[in-house]
Amino acid sequence: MRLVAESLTAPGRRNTRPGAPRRVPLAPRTWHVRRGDVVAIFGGNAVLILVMWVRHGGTMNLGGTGSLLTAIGQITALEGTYAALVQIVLMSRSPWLESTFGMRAIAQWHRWLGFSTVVLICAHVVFTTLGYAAGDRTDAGHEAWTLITTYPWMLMATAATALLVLIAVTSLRVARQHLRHETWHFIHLYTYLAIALSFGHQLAVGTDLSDDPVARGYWVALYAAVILSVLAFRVLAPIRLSLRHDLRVDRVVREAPGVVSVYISGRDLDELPVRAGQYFLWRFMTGDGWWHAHPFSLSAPPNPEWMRVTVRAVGEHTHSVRRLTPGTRVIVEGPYGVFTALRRTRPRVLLIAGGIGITPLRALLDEMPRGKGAVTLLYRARTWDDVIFRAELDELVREHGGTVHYIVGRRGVDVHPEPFAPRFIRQAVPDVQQRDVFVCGPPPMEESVQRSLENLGVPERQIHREHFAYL
Amino acid sequence: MPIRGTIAVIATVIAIALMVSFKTPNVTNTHPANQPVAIGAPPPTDTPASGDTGSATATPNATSTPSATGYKDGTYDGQDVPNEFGDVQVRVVIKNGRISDVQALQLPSDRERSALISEQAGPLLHDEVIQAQSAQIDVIGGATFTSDSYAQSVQSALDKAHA
Amino acid sequence: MHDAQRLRPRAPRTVRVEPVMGTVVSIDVRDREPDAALLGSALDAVVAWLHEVDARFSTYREDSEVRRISRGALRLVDAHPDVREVLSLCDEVERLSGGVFAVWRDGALDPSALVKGWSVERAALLLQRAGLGDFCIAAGGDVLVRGEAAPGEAWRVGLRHPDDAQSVTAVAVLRHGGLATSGLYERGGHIVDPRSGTVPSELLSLSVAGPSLTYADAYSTAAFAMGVDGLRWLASAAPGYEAYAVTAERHALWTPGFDRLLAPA
Repeated sequence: MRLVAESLTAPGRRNTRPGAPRRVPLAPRTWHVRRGDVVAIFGGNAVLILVMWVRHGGTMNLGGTGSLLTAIGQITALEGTYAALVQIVLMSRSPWLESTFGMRAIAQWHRWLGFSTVVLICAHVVFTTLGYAAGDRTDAGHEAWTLITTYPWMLMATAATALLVLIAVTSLRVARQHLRHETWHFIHLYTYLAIALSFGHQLAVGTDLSDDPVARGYWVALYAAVILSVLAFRVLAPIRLSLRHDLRVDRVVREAPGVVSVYISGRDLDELPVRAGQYFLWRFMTGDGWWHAHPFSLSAPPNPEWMRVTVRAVGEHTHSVRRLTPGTRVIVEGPYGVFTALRRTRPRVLLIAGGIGITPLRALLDEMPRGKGAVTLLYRARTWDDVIFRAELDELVREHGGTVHYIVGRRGVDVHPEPFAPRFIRQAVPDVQQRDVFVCGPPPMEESVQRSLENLGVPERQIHREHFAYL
Repeated sequence: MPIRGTIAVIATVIAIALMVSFKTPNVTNTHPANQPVAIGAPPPTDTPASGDTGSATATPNATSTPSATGYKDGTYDGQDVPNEFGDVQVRVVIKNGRISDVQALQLPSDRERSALISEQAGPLLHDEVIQAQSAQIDVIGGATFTSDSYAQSVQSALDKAHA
Repeated sequence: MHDAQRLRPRAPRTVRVEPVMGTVVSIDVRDREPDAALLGSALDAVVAWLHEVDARFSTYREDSEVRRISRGALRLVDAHPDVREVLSLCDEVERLSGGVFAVWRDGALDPSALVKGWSVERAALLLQRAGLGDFCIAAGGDVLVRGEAAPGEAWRVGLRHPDDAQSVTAVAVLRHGGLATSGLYERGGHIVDPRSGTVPSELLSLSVAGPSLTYADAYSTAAFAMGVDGLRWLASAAPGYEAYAVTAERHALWTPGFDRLLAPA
């Protein structure tokens, strides 16, 4: 039995450092993908697919209505499926993509591509059915029935289409408001099934693929690449990382009713490629918790002895975090996030936190400059219950010679309706234009802060934002 | 794995099996359907969130009222209230009509109990004979403040102070 | 409580003392230049809150929700959300302590060992809501501190000597957290070790310091009931929480983490 060596109430000595030498923050990956490269690859393939279709004589047979409809049906099928495959690559949580574009941009693209996919596939169904119906001189309903019951793999393809529609419908904003996140996520995962179900149909019936071995080979290679990237980044890399470092729960500290810090320890932690400000997707391997990946930021800078995350137990999942026992194995995906001290460009810094967004900022604080007034922290929370790390923040800021302002209360009731209006920021930080600003909080709050900062003339390159994408 | 998720996964597998077994007239369907990827499942119903933060303006129960002002300024010693562990006596200081301090004059101590331990401390715990200190402090903590005798002694002092 | 002769000199403060919950609660605010009206109403709110807690949780009142639940006259689902929160926290500690800390005893519900610390921690939020950051609340021997006692200085909390009401055995230096003490003389029923069924006799008192007074309060009760084993239990089961105990032989035992909290004698 290991007696605890930490106490959070020792004076003058911050307990987030266990006395071991601080590790040097890692330099960024030297090889990384450029935006242009990625866009070129994705766009290039889309064009390539179109070119292959033309090569097969797609444009030659556009005489009658039927052929025209069918042609459209073919193009929409090809590009629609391609869009779906691109999405899966985006969602593979590859650190390359993530560090190039940021999770937010990727999430936005995913959403746009997602709806495009469904629209294109539905269009494919409609146009192909109409096109064949015209060719066979029957009505659409009869043609549809024939297609489904006599063509191979069609039943599955139909099921796949139905699934895609279901997924799209449940992803509409209005639907998401009524669905629990877990339910939505569960349905969303059926995308993999839908794509798998349609694969057989594509190879068997896709007119462009069935006769041409090159096209077939290319199509299969596409699928293989996508599957491999998903396997590599979502399954293999996390397992490898977690096994190599033998990550396990070391202890769980109850900071206050409902607030819990989890310390994770392991082997060679100083070689974990993570920096303060980043987050992992944490999977705690308990009987009923293994399937949930929590996006928790490190709440203290990484060090050779442990990593720490701090959680407010609000829902069922975070509640289960409270019950973690020491020794539980931990699998991590990541690290993710570009919200690190590497982004700094100026000698002084302004940190703006909203709610749980304080977590990465608390970790970043350690790497912030020292000196009178070099660091200012604005911490917005709705109630004092939501304020965490009070003691650590006060102490850290004091050590750095900086200041912290707590803006706590309901907007319009306890605090001004616009707590981040330009004049308030300028009041707190007159030289904001000359500072790097790190912002982390709920998207609406970040938007409002961004607008104020732009209003105050803070250059775009000095504004750094992060938010937790629930992907 | 939570129930609803398991049911959903089982239903999915059955549906796929049915689709696979459906044979179209022209083609013998020998390829097995792709297995569904391991799918997460929704958890059991959320328990209601913990209670709200403490109310700022609570109307106290009629039988439990805050102490009224209207005490006479001065220093009042409460009754010496004995209990099985010893005597308890407190001193209450009233300033500007309100309680400004409560001091303990006598508190129970346990001189006669026979001791059992000390050797049990072991290597992990520090062990030292205690000494009485009078150091500069801001506040005192301890276990002897919640006995009924303590409350009685406080009340008797306040009774004396009541104008 | 404050022994006048030893209070830190020249530290301006506002103090409110209130008998409630069967003991005396004192609030000591050290913020420099607080808004007087805001301060007054914040202290009033804290006092009102403590009386509200007393009315709801006291096992000495027939009509408190806790007593009514004991009798079966009130269902848990119909009780105030605070009651459910407290009981859920008690469950957590019960699990952690292997049943030594238990709210149901002899067929009666008694969460007092956690309620005091919990209500004080909530009271601290009320003060913070009013903009106060440097204060300490002492309630029946439990102490919660926030911020600084004086500019640049943490709070110095004395642990009362078992024999001499006027002196302390040790001084713990705290900046943000709680320190709770359990002993034989506590109200709320004699502490009984459920494993043996007897009143623990090894220790005179056991104090727990940690980030949350709510948990410190409950842990001190559980650890005290376990005797010297309680110190070891605390060290392994409750990271972040440290213990200091006084034995009947007038020895002090403390966990390594508590060492860092002790001011040099």
